[in-house]
Amino acid sequence: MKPLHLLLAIAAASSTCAFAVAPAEAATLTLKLNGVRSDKGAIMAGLMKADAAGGAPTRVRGVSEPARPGHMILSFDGLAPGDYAVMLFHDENGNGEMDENAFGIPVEGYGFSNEAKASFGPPKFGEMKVTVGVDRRVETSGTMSY
Amino acid sequence: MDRRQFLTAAAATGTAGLIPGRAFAQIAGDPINGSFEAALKERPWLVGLQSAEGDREVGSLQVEGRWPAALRGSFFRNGPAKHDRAGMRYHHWFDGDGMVHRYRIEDGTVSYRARFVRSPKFVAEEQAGRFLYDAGGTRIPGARGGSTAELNVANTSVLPVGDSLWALWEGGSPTALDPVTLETRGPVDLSDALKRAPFSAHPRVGSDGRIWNIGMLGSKLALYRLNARGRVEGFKLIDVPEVGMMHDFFLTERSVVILLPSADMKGSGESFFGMQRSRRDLPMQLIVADRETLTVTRRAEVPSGYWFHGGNAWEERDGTIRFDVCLLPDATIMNRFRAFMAGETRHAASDYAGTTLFTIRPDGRVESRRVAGHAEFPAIDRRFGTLRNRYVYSAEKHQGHTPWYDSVRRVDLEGGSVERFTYAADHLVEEHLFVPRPGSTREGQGWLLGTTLHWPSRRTMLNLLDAERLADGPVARAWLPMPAPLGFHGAWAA
Repeated sequence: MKPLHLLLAIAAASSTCAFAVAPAEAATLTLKLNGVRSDKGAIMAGLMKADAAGGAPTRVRGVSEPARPGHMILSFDGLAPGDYAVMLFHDENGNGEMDENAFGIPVEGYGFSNEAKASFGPPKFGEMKVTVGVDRRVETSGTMSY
Repeated sequence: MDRRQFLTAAAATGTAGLIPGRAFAQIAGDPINGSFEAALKERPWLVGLQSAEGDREVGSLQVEGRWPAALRGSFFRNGPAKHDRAGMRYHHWFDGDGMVHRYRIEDGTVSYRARFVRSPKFVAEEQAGRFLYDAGGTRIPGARGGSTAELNVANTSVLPVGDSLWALWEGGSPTALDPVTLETRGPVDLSDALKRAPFSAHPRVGSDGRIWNIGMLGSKLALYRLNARGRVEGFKLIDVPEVGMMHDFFLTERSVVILLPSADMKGSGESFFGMQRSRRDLPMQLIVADRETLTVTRRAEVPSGYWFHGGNAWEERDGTIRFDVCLLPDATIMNRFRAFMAGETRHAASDYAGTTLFTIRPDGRVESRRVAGHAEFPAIDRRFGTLRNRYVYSAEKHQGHTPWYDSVRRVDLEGGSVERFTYAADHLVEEHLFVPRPGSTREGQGWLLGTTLHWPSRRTMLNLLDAERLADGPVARAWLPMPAPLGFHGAWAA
């Protein structure tokens, strides 16, 4: 079992990779996030992309949005075709980090694309996966867990 | 593809939205539910694996015999008591929501109260009328994800701490209850850094009242030392091979003693427990840590095996450590409980543990001696915990009328003799604890106190036996007017 915190830490890293896609083939991934419990702090989201050669997924983008209770919409545009996953956490205390306990268990809320869930361990990439193909708009949803 | 597989697959592929309402999956039922109901008709003793309907309060239990005036206190028990909702039955005995029972004994009378622990999970599922989260042994179709705070079922054991009673699980925090009303006060954050941290269900209490415990997550094993009021004084994480659930450990006057079972987490069965796999090819790993500094002082290898419970450990002047374990040949039992929940009652020798006495020499040599018979739920006279003890008490499967335990016994570790009492064939025997006789000082002077389920009348009975005259059977009994679901562990608070 890979500790959840490693995955989320990768997802939330604040630097952003350069990412250029020709407009003609660029798609937009929209994620509807449910169950945000407060307007404190921010929702931090990391976009992961599968390695077409079979290697480990890499983080390709990170966004931060002020938290709003209930539903939120997050979009990632200009995406090339491929398999993606979104990992999110709710930085309620605004310290820019996903707080975790001594074991690396998150103590702030988190969620995943494709309604993937962590229970007794983090979800696998395949459970969070959203495939971006020729469609210009791809939608997914996730639900926060606290 | 059967219905359940279809629904699971549908949920996994996101087509569950085509079915009106996620509750459909649970209303549609689960094969386990049907097979259990059918088995219950043929084997009425399976009543012990039915859910409890709700909280209970009985002012004065029907008693038999004479409850000694000197015996005054509360006997608490915990165990899974909500096994099914909306037609969905958990697949594993360890999954159900915890219910804590309190038998109050005073002036020869016994009163009873039992309440479900109001964990966040229990409250949410009670409101929804169906299971919302996966459990350790069961994948729930359409389940929500859950943190260890949300999945905590507080169903394994109890520990009186300060002015609270802690309901313990393995994968998350203790849950504090009011020890009189059993009302839930909430999760216990041991510290900011230990919120939601795994805290196991078999803490060991030293003679000075301090509390030691373990917690296991993946390849991280936590060692905790708390003061008598439950404040953390010491904490250390050590890296260990990933073995999955580990239930118990030992404490001596100097050391914390860890015995990692021969297992890994590479299985492909259902949910978290389904990942635990026997590794008969691997030894058990013994890790000894200084109980004050929590630093590892030595390691040794012990022949392959698996275990849930141990009685006691003590350490000799030269560093020799001795302890008794209810030893199983391998980890298959963890997932055999699935068949049990389905009402299947065939059983194998590997389902039963035997009391085994280990001696670990300072140079790492290991000796072991097995006591005949199938024993579980070991108990000791806790006045002798961490010291050299003579007696180990346990539940025993002696006659075998059912696959469950039918007897209680005392093993004399020095003389080798065994004394036992076998209950009537229509009782299922649960854990019996040793309660010292007030004013006594010699080991073994006291009572065994424990429950049995009388399945024909569907009632649970509290039994008191003289621990020095076990063969005489109960000196006093108290009957509940209903069954208590077969549970795990208890505690006595005078």
